[in-house]
Amino acid sequence: MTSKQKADLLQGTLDLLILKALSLGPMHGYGVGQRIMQMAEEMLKIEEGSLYPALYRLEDKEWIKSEWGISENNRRARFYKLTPAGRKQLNIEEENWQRFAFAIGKVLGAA
Amino acid sequence: MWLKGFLRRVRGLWRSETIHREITDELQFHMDMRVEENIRRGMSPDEARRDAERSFGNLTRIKEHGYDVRGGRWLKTVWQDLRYGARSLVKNPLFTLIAVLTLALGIGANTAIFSIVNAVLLRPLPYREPEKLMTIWTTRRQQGQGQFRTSLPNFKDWREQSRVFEGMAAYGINLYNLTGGGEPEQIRGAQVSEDFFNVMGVQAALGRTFTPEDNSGNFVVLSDAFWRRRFNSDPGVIGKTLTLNGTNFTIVGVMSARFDFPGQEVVMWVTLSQATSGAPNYANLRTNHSFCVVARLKDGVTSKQAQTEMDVIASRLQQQYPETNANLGVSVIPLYEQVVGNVRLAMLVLLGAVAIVLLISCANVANLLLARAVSREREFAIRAALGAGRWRLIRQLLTESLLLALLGGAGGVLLAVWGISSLNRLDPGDVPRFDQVSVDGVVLGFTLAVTVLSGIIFGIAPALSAKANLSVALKDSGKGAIGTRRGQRLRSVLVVSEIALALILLVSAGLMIRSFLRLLAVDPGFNPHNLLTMQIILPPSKYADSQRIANVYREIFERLALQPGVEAVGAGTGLPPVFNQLRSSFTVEGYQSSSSSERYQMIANILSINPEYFKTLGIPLIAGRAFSDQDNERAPRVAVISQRMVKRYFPDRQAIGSRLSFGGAANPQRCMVVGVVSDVKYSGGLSSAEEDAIYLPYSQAPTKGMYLMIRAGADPLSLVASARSVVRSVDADVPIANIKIMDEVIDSSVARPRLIVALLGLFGAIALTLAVIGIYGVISYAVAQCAQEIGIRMALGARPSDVLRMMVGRGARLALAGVAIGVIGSFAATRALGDLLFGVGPTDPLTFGGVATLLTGVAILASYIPARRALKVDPVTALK
Repeated sequence: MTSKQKADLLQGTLDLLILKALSLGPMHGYGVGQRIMQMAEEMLKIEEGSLYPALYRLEDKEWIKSEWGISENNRRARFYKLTPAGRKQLNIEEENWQRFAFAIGKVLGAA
Repeated sequence: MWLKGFLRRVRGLWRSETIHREITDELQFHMDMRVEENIRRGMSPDEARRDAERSFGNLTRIKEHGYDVRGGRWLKTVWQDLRYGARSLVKNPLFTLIAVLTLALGIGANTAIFSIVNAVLLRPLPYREPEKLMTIWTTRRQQGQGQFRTSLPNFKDWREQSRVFEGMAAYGINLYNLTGGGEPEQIRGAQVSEDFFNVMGVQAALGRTFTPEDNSGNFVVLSDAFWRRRFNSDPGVIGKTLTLNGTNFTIVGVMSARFDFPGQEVVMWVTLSQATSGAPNYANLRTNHSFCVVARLKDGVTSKQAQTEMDVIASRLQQQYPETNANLGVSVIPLYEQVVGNVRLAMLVLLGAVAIVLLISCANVANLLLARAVSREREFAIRAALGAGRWRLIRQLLTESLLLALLGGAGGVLLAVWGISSLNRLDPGDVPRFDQVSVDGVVLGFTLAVTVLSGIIFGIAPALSAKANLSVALKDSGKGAIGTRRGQRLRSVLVVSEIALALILLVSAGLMIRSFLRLLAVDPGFNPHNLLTMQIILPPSKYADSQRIANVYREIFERLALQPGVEAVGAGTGLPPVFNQLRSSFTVEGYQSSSSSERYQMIANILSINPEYFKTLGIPLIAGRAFSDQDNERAPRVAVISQRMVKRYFPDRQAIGSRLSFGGAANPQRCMVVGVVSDVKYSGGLSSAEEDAIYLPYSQAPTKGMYLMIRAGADPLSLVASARSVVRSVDADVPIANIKIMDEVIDSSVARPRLIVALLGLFGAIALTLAVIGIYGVISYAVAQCAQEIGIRMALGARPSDVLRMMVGRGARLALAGVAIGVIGSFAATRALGDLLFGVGPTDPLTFGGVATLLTGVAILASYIPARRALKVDPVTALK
């Protein structure tokens, strides 16, 4: 597995995680990272180096959109928000992931 | 490299800075949050920051990525295209210079003419809700003849009976002698009814305007210009008096500089009460049509509704006053129409002309770009091979075109500013608001739109045609046979359209020039050379009785005639060919008018003249005698009539000795015809038709104002000083006004057509030059492209003359095609010139033939020069 393929795989997963995190409500980049970490009960840590490119990419695809807002500690921060298209995409990807995980589970269980 | 600096600044205007900043801010926020979190977890500040930075990894790459996604990629490519385009323009300075100059000419002409159109036609009149202002005129019903002024009693009836107007005001323009406090001066003032300023919707800049109470007194409001000139902008002028025609008027206000209705020459507005002070009752005669009427429509009323109501009122007045109002109709015309109606056509013709110039410029630049596109085929092929999409290449070319257009537009604005300042020095004649022409925001907006549009027009064809060449170009060594032929056809089409457009413009210009020459050749009926004219008006307070008037004039004439350099002194109440003071209906004894409509057409110019008038002006006496000093107030009343009156009213009997009368029922005057002179044009300028004229000796028909006509031996202007001193020595209170040389009077009467002819001629010359450059370019390019073919032909034995004929023939075919299309187009276009033409039909064969021949000849010459280069082709080199 080359690093490029690995990145692709991770990218798809990371997109899904971000969309999921934002489905709970608008949040700034830092918050998205924190939220994913909490949801994964500290088992996943998102590197900033991949988080922001993913956010920009998702915004380019118009699954999320961003605007300036005020953070919980009263600072100016860029908030991201799920678009209707993004919500649809989240459903599709969630389904794909479930199927994928189910298939993987079958394979591992059969061995 | 000024271009690079310029573009860097342009870039600063774009959003890219903002995008960068926003991304940096966003990441900074995240970093700070991370640092805080780390500290909370017990790290030292230093450690916390280092950890945060580490977790970001390559910060620059994240930023770059964000920038690209957030629209920066687009900006970057636009910026790239721009930079690339600028570089390629700088690399070909000659091409760039020619293209920019061509465009600057086209865009500059459009900017200049549009700024005129903007000032003259588009800017609203400077009054409150100007679209509601109407002018109301009396018309002669039976003939549907033009509008003329209204009598005060009729105006009052209109005002009382109409329901559609918010207000209605009357005004008349008069000359006043201003005396006391400085040099006596003749000034023009408008006598206005008290609601005049209300109707116009304007307020005084200083003091006040008139109120209804002012009607009984003598009050005056000054114009800004007059206030500045005569009173040095003294704010304390309110309440002071002005002595006009010997009567004191109290100054109540000063208007702002923006208000100059009904004309720039009007320097003050006086109350109507004065109308009755000169000649008692005269102003109140229902037959004295000397007032203009302006009215403001009520909300929601259209001019058509107003017309309908005024028609009813006119019919009612006709029944009520059959003596005076029979056949009188009313015409309601929007003030805007009144002001600009008669220049609109000329303005539209000029706009059409500059549009043609711009189209030709665009075609020329498109041609240049097409030629260049061929030499850039390889460049594009390589870029395409490296992954540039077709759209990207088209965009690249369009960016370059827009860049060229913007440079041309900037040059055009400079040209226009220069052009307008030169235009302002010309005499525009009666074009309204011409002095307000300027390059303002509206004009610049127009120019920007025109610039972008022309960038697209001339850029689109070369950009789209770039694609066909890509695959071929790399294979071939650069001659790109298929693509070239395609480009060549497109270029031919462009040149043919250029020639067609140039022909249309040149034919129109030619027709206008021919009309203008016809106009100048018109015989005004007198000899205008070496004639000095000036106007004198006697102060009415001092010269009430006609004997005194006649005496003072006689003294002035006699003393003037003795001055050295003076050959003869004529005087009359008109200034041919532009002005005559009095027109009146008349009857000829023994002549039965064939119809009542003819009776209404029997209107003549009535002039009081001195005995030397005909001799001084060189108006030939055809029969009978001119006046002499014996024709004084004690002698029987006599008249001299014009030749066309004899033809019409005395076809089979002696005119001399017959009698005629004029002046209407209210003030009939009867006199005997003693002489006949040839016809003279008295009003409406050279293009107007001759009218009947009845001349009376001034001592039998004295008036307070006369035009002096002094025939000079040499330069007429040298007599001004002595004329002034003679008049002053006779009476120091008599002012002299309107000192002019007759040649100049005639000259300025044709100022408007001259302006239009000059501009059309200029644009025609530009169009011709551009079209010639276009055909020259196409033929020289064709020669270069066909070098191989020519080489083969010559190697096979073709004579140089054959080769020459082939290449020139190509140019001639293009020229003839363009001329043929242009002639058809001109037949349609010149009809729009309509009233602007004088003495020449819109399809004048001489003009059409001349212009077509000229254009064909020049085009063939333009192809001959580059074609000769084909003869220098060395077959050996060409075939290699």
